[in-house]
Amino acid sequence: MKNTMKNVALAGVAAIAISMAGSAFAAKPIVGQEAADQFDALMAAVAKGDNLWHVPQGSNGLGCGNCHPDGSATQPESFPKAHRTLGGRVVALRDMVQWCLQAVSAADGFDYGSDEMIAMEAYATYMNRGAVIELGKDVQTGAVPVISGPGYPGTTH
Amino acid sequence: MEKISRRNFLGVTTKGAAAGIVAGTFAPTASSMIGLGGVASASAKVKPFTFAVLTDAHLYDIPDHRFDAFLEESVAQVNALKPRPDILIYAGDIGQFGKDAELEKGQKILSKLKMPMLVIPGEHDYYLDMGADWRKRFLPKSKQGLEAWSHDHNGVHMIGMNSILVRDFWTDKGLSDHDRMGWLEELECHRCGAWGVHEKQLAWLKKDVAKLSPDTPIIIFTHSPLWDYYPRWNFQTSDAPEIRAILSKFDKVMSVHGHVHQVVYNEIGNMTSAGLLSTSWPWPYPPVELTYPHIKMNRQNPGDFKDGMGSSSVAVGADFDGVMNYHAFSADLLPENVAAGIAV
Repeated sequence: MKNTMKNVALAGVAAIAISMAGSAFAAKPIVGQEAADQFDALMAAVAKGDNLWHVPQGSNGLGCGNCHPDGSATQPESFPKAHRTLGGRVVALRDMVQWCLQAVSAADGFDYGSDEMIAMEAYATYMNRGAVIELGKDVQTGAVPVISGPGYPGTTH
Repeated sequence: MEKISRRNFLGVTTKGAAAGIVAGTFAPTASSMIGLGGVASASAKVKPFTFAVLTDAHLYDIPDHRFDAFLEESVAQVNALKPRPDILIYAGDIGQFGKDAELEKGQKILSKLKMPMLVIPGEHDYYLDMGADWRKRFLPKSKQGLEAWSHDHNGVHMIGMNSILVRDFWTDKGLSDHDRMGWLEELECHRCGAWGVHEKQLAWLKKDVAKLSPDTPIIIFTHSPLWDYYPRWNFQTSDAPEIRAILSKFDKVMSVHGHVHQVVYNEIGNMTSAGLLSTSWPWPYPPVELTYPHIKMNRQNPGDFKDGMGSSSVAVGADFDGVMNYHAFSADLLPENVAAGIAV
């Protein structure tokens, strides 16, 4: 009984502390120049991914763009998922990118967390923006329709 | 028309040419469904025959590349067809970067075909040297500079055209030959312009068919589709409307095209249109609605490098009724309705 009372009291103190901290530390919405800078940084990563996507990374001349124009049929919205090609393991998009680089393109692949791998993920994901997240989805779809340009803003590519 | 032989692939048979987001806006009709034949057959009688089509080998100048083996397998496939096709049309993109070594390799593999072959170019064959090596290997000396042809076979008038011509985007930009090819190597090149056959070939086509009667069966081969499928990827031919207008006098026109690396079908007016399997890699379907969504191939297994590809052949009947048969490398690629053959 004593312990229960003590726990209730501690919980109350914690709740008050969280409430106060919430008002003190809540981040303001990212707007204006900061938002623009963040978007530009993202688009730079997308553009870097676009360039990597369309250049052979391995020894057999094949690039990701050979089979996945505009990032089609990458289905970022379906990951993580169990993938037959990777032994039925639950994998992330980067695992599939790495598999394609190494198995299909005969490349070394990119270190996880490297700018290159993040750029590849950024490109594939941005070109499929708006797709509803549906982990495990097993239906192949095209990427976003592109009328002109590279499919994303802020680049001379 | 002259007779053809395997040893003289194109020349002796040719008459030289100087030389949306919604895929199509044409509602399907009941008569266009599989097995019913969407466009009325021509009345002129045809001596039934089969022709085969290979396309999009995208060979690399790399020894023992797996695409070499895929092209070899497709050649073996069509050689083994029964009845053996009378003729084979290669619908473009033998090479990947237009290198003569790629074209030479392709020519060597294709020399194993047991039937004569007619060839049209794809952009990957062409833009490193503006088609010079391709013409050297696949056009006879008498036809140099001419990239469209016609050939009469068993009552059918066959036409081949170069549909991958673009306006000069490279001179002002100071691009090297290598860079020009590099830009066009990318399917999504948004700085290269839309492909077409352009004025000289249109004039040739008009002249080529001028004296043919409307009941003449027509089959036209181009690398790119003669309809606006997905212009972003040049799944189109910019002057296709003019081509269709010139051919509109005929009862029925079959269009067969490469470039899309997939099973796809459409109809516009008197023209049926069928896409082909590649022997390199499959393209995904673009983000558009197909008018004939039941004529598609299945999603391929990325772990099976041969899945998604194969060869194709068309059986042409006496009433110019055609059935397109896809010969996939992997049995799971084709849904039953497509595996059974589609009316074209």
